[in-house]
Amino acid sequence: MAREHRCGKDGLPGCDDGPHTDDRFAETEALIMSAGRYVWPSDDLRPRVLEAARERVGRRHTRYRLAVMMVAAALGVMTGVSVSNHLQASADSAAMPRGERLDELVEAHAAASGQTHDWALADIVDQWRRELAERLPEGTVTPHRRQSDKTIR
Amino acid sequence: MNAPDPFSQRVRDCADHIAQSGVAALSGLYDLTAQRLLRLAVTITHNQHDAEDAVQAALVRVADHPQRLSRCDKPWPYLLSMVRNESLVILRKRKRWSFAHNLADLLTRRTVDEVEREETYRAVWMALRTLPTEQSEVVVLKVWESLTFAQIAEVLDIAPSTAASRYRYAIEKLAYNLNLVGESLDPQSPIGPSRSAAETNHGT
Repeated sequence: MAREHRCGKDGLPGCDDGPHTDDRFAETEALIMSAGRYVWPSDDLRPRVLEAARERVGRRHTRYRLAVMMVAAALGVMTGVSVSNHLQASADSAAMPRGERLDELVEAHAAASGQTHDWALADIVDQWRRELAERLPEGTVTPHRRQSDKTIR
Repeated sequence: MNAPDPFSQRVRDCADHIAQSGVAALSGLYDLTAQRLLRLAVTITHNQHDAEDAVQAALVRVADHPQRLSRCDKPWPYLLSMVRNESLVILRKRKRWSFAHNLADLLTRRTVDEVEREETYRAVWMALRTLPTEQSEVVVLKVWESLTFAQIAEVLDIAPSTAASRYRYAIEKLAYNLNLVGESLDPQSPIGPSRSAAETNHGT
């Protein structure tokens, strides 16, 4: 190694100052080499490094766990809100109109069909039950129920 | 792609071990590399405390993402460049660059049979501190880490020819300084008298 730089090896130009310079360089390099293990780390560096590494890795794991929990919580909230909205919409559409809304519907139906308010109310209730029955999947309605529907009609 | 040198392979093995076993395995990498990393960092920061901080920061990064070290082509030069970067970051954070002109900050260790050579070691380290950092780091990587100029160029992000010329200038200066020191070593010299064994000898 010591003569590598002087002989033009390592893809680099060498030094042409002659053998005296080579010897001086070799001597100097040998001197430097001998002092390589003179300086040492302090005794407390090793535990300090290990402790700092433990803390850092621990912090990283904590941050990772926190991030996973936050993502899971966000997903949970988004899913909850979505399901809640869906259920609310479903409940709203399936519910029988009440109060002023029902009065308005009865009034409008009575005016449109020329029926009395009682028959208009009966028609609205009947129509609502049909809509509910249509939403049920095929085969959910029992034969007994169909028979009773026919009887009523 | 050339096969990594044996030391790089050992560094890679340590990184793999950390990736598999966790932070506890960092001690293996520390034992393997700390002294070598520290002497590079000391060369750059001119201060043992800052150098230890740089080594700590680099090894903690490795513990956090050991795969980065184990997957790179040359793990040892990569780790050296990590420590160099951390050292430069620490230097930038320093409000003023006040490089020490003695070796009082260094924690040194030598065996009993090396006592008579301590003056030489101190002379070498003192001479290294008189060099500009860009030259002294090339010397450290070339002589102590046995890297080629191409590898040094990768670590320092410079051209190989630049690395070679820096090395040449550095060795010329060191040769001059060390020869001067060798001829006139006395308590008044820039190196000064060595510290007592009680101050400096922490080892065998």
